[in-house]
Amino acid sequence: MTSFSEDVYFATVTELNARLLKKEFSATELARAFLARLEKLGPRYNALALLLRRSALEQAKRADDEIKRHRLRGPLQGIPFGAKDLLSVAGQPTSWGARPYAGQVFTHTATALHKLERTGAVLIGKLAMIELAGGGGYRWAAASLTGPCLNPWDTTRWAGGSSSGSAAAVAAGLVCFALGSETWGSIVTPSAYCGITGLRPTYGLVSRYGAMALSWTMDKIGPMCRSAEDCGLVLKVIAGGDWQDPGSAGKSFYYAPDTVPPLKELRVGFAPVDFEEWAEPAARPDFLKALETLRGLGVQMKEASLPDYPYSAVASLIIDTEGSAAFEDLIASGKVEELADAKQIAGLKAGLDVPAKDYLRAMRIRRLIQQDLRRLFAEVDLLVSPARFGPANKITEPLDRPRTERPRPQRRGLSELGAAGNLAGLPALVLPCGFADGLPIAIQLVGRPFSENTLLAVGRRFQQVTDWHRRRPPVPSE
Amino acid sequence: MQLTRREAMVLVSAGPGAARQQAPKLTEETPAQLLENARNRLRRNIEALSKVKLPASAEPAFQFRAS
Repeated sequence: MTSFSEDVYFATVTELNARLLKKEFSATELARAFLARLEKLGPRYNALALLLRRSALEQAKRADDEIKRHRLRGPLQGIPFGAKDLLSVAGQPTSWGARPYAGQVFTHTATALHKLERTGAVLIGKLAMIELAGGGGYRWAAASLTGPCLNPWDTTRWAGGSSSGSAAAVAAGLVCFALGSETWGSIVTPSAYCGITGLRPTYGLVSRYGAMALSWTMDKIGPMCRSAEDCGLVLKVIAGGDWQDPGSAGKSFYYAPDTVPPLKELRVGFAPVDFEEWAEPAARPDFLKALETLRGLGVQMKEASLPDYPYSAVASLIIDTEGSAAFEDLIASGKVEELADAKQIAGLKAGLDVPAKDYLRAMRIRRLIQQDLRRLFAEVDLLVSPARFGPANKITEPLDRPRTERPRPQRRGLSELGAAGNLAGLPALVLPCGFADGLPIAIQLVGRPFSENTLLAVGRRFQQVTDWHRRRPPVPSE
Repeated sequence: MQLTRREAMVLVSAGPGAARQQAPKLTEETPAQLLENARNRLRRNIEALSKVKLPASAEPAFQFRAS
């Protein structure tokens, strides 16, 4: 088998594509190398759900044949990638990270994966996830069929969830990019904890057909990559209307970061309290440097805060209610008891009892939140805050308890931007911005619906003047 | 709850099988207590929502499109 240097495993989509077109190596050689690496190292991080060797090699051969005939399908042609095991691949097991669904096989392939296949990308494996994407709420990193997903930067730490394996695999150079999903934090958190660039698209931009449903009104599929540029390239392929997804916005996405207004015209909202008080002390220096870097790009920084709503309570109630309804059969059958996390079992059961009037109240407040955020986005073009206030948890730490005994800051700032952004279906881009206690930390940019190009333009510029996204964890030799 | 060094090492190194077996033991409460806690959390969330003033014109944030 052709031997590759580490540079290949940590290359971006555009870099790998250029080398494929220059015939430095074939897509088949590349796929074989990534398959071997994912098979060997994936289990060390509990990041691998299923290796797809045969179909990957067939797809890679098709890419080679087409490249030979100059039938070029774009920068993803021949690029090895992975997908969260919440997305179905026809004829292959899709476990949703949960024991009751181990061995579940669908006859259809998720639209997002089908689109990637058509563009010549090579799916080499399904990646681990928190069981049922964390619906019901979980306490332990071990809430997964594949065990606690370990962070490549420090294997005593968690990779984050629920798109755990997607983040760990990209960070460790086991795939070039991955697909994840977010209902509330499931792309943002693992991307931040593993030091990769993740994009949560606007609700409805990417079809969820073939994806596990946790919350019909909040689920999104998005790319987890090495750079903002790669996120744009992947999003361009997977976005688009789909009649098979009732939540589809019917919109396409064309990656065109150069068409957004000059950065000096962009107004970026931030809350100093997020960086100075909400952030953990060890993370503050690099968070503050990231703010300065953004300012240095020429954008107009402007203080901002979120309108006063109980964002987390609203998001929790909606997800609890929809999630329990989605898994009603699992709960009624008693198989819910096979889940790994006892807190999650209890949460799913309890969610069945939410009165309709309270769910509707949450959805009505959500409408007000959407309207008020629209007003906020008349004053700023995007918001920036820490993606998480500190680095990854230890895998033995309970995730539902405060990590420190620091007093809660008096001012809210943008501290609930995660809940607010998901409730309003807003896009978010996670950009690695430094380290705390030797672990990656990241900022998030959040924009108006369908403003992905603006986020990506700022992100791309940020990554032209920083190299945090280029840092590599100490991956063991194969 | 603190884990012993040994318990932590087992959890980290033994992989999926260990994770499945270890996770339930790591929980302090009984299933009945966990269910009660989950219900209490829902009640607290519902209470927080009840404090928001809602105009009658505020429609729920989902759409139905005839097609």
